[in-house]
Amino acid sequence: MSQSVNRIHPAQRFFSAAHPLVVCLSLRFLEGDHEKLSVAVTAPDAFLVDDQSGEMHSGLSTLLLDTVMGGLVLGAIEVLQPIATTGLTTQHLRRPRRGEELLCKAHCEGIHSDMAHITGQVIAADTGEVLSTATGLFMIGTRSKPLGMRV
Amino acid sequence: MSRQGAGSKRETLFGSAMANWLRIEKTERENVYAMRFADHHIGNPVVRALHGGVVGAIIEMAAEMELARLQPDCAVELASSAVDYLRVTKDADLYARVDVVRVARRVAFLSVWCWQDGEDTPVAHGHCTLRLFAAETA
Repeated sequence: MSQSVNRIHPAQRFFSAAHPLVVCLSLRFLEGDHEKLSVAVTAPDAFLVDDQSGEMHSGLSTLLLDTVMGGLVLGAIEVLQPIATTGLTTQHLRRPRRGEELLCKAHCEGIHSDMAHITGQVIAADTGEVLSTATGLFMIGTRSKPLGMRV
Repeated sequence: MSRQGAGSKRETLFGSAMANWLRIEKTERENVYAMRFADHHIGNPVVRALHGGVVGAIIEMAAEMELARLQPDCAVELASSAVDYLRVTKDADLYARVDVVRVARRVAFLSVWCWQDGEDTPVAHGHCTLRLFAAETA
């Protein structure tokens, strides 16, 4: 049985929060458990790279992938704790277009020695065309105090 | 397998909504770009660290801007990036220095080092592969 039936996925809670970046992206949680997470988003104008062609910058896909893959890690760990991206490799097949409906999907390949290995894709919702793919490495359990408070 | 876009030129990149969102600026050093901090760059609000995707995006944008500076007759577009996150970041400006590894006829390879406190304590390193498009197709 999917965990999403039993509890709110931590990513779902995060995506509904008043987080400035989440507000910019307007992410819509679709489904998720400890192995996979799917999110929908309408490509926001704030990420346009070319107003005439209506193309978004590839950084939108990079942002989405890091956010959704990181969100999946929060759902994959037993005890909620801070995480950090340690590595992110992204292949961009094409840029998203203005107002395009996108799906961002992440899959947890495994967790070993406090490191989560995640793969992800950004897909055009209407055609299934793959726009970007990524692999991400996330450290589980990081320092939680702001830098300025550390001694 | 259609391809709609044909890359972007330097002026398009600098005048884009994305550049405005990232708050990316030129600096006195031609190959160094600055991201002026904004709250929407934060990933973890407890630690006040920059979002990993924001750091990735600034690396990608800086690489494109630098290649477009060096190849003003061409349009450029990112094909891939690989980012190592070397240190924890904080809620402050981020600087990105772009070094060219090789520029070939249709593709270029660039290395990007990012720092906040000092160039000798980098917070991230990225390797970017970009496509180059000749002016007639740009």
